Amino acid sequence: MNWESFLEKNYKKLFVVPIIMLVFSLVVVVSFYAKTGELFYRDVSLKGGVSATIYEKGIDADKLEKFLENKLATDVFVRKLGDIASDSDIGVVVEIGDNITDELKKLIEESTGVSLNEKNFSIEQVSSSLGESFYQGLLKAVIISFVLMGIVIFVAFRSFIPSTAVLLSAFLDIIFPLSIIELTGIKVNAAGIAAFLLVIGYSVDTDILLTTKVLKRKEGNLYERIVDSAKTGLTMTFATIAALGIAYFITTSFVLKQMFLIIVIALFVDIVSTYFMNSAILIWYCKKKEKNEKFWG
Amino acid sequence: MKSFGVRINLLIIMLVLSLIAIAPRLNVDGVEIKSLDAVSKSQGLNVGDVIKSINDARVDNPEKFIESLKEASSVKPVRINLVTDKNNASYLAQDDLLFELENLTIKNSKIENIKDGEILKEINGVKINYIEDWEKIRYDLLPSKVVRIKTDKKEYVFQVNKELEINVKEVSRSNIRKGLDLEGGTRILLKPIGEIKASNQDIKNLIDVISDRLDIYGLADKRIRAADVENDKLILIEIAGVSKEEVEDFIATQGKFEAKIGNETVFTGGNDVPFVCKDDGTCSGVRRCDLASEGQYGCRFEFSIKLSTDAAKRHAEITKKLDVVGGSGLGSDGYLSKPLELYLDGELIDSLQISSSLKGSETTDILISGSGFGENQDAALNDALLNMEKLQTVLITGSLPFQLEIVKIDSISPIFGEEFLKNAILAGAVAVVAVLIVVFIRYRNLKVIFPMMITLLSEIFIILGFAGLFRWNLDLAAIAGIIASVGTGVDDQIVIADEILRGQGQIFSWKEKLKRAFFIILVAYAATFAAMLPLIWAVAGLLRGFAIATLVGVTIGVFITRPAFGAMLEKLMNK
Repeated sequence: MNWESFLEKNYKKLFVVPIIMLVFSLVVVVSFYAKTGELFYRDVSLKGGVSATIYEKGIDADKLEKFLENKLATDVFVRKLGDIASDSDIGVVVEIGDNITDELKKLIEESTGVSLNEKNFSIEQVSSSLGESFYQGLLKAVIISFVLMGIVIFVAFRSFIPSTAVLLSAFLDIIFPLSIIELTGIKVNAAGIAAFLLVIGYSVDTDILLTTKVLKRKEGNLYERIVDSAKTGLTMTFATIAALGIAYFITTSFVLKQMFLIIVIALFVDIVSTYFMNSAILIWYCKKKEKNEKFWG
Repeated sequence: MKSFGVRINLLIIMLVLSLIAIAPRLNVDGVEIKSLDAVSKSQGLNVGDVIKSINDARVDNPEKFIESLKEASSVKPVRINLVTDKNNASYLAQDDLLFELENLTIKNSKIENIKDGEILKEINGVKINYIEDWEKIRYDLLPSKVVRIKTDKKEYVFQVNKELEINVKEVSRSNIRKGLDLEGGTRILLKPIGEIKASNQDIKNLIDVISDRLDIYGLADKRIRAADVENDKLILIEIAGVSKEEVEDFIATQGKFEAKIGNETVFTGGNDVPFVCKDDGTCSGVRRCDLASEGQYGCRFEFSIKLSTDAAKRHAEITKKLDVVGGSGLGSDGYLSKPLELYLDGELIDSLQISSSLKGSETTDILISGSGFGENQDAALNDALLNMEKLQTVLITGSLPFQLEIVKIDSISPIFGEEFLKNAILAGAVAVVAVLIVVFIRYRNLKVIFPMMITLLSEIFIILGFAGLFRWNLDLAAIAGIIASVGTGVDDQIVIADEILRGQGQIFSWKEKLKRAFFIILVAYAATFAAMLPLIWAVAGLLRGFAIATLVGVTIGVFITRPAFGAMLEKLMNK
């Protein structure tokens, strides 16, 4: 059996997969919101607080975390900084929700025995009001992005159902990675939200390719055109997954790591949302149109 | 010669222009000054100057510089043998003789077994009978070295009696500027707080004043701009190569200066003070250091200023009403009943007696003084210099009309920056290879891989060209943006490659095929453009580098490099 006939017979069954994912992620996101009042855990850049990075080998992260929690009587989060590629130990990052810097520096020195100076110590401090403004601003940016992108799609295709299908696919590409981020408890930073904006851009590429081939091309039948576009689209997606996936493992920057992680998850989701969901909607749409044409023609 | 066709020629032109914009400099020598100590600053060295050699030894990198500077300016302590009328002593001295002399009488002695009040008789074997004897040798007693520093502007030759502290960085080798998170430094986001909300004009004025202050302070390597976050108007300052502690206090100080007599204000900084003496040893400097109390040294600084005529009139009117006290007729004219008190941000920093001769006079020349403290003399001296500089700065620029709250402060270590940059370049290179491997697996044709590689690298190069042209600061976010736009670039090239390689049908001409590919590419471009647009303004523009790099990347991709890719592929496939 070739792909075309497989698709023709099974597109309705395939459609179930994205629907389950959509329902799953909506449940996760809504219950997370009900529990925490948030869309995701925010890091220091979006919530306010201090993030200090100590650039020194051989620091015991767990010991430092316990020590600081004890002394400061607040939640402290310490993680190791290093890249998997060279398996190196570069240093640690300390995150605290409160704005305490001078004391923090002394305590870290006390616990680790490392003398901190401008060379081995970086610190980021954000007031909670600013973090909140950043967060609100970025959420607005995501919504505006989505709306602007939607306008572009509607203008380009000028038909309601195919355009909506593209937007639905982009929505799944955002909401599913979001639910994964929530479940893993990753703290999202400002660049992470920027990554979601990029996801919007990446996600629609394959959908535009698919929709164009299905609606505007005449060669082959409907299923051949979909399979043809999938060959191109999957090459695109896997090329990007390969590039960003490897970059994820190589980079030592938490900012870049988080961006790449979000985009890679979204690209995997995009395979399902484009070829299981968007194509199914297009098949249904074309069949209906054909029926109408027969009826009226 | 056969032409490459418009599209490929356009790409070549863009690559050449980018090369010009980046302007790589291969044979640069010397190091650029990041910050200076007071000694070298007073000699005329400036932040941004490029030091070529020290004592004729070439310095090509910061490590070499540190080594050469240490060698050239470190002085070894010398032994001083001293005889007084009561005692004698032998001790090591480096930049301080450990006593002062007045009428051949020892003052402020820090030498064991030599007390104040003893008379100096002999030093290092030279008999001291008259003041002239002392004056002849006093400057030759302490060790000193002559340092010759050659910069791109001129050669400086001066004596030092302690190690110079000059911080340098590598001279930039191209027009591409590294952003703060790659170079190291401090970023501060300030929120003005006043009785009324700051207007755009207020923000502009604040930026001018802060910028002036930073200049005066010697922090020239800075970027400062307005930043809107939601409904707040903020100011963003980025200073490369400076730590958080160095700028934190200084920047957020409103710097409200007031000189008062009693409850009446005589003058404040800015317009009241048309001239402030600064960096001129004849009218500004630290004049005296003493042991203030056990383990606590104090140093006094002085500098002269000129008052405006308005302020001088105020001075006359206020002093007219004061009484003269303490005049004894024995050479001393006495003082006015109330002192001139200097306040900085509401805190009394100094109180000056006013000579009775100034009563009711419209004097324009005023000597300002203050002090600094520390646990040793060096610390006290530095503290005094710092306080003096702060006060001078405030007097020159006037006070800020708003209080400033630091809402965000990031301090990034320069080591991070270097590591991140190397790492990001590695990540980018490996990402490009990964893409090419995936594409090769799909097409198994080197004729596709080659033009694709050329296109990807050209795209990165042209984005960097833009960065050089507009002097963007390439930060981590911008690098992420470049990787992202290369990602969409790959997508588009695959679409083009697929349209062209679909050899079987051959219903369409090359031109037709490319046209079809470009509908998809243009719509995808418009969608990405629309999606990234809001990011230019979000988060106080901190992610602007990311947004702009992506937007520029996809734009040149769609209009220049990807059409060229189509043309290259077409030519290769047609052979």
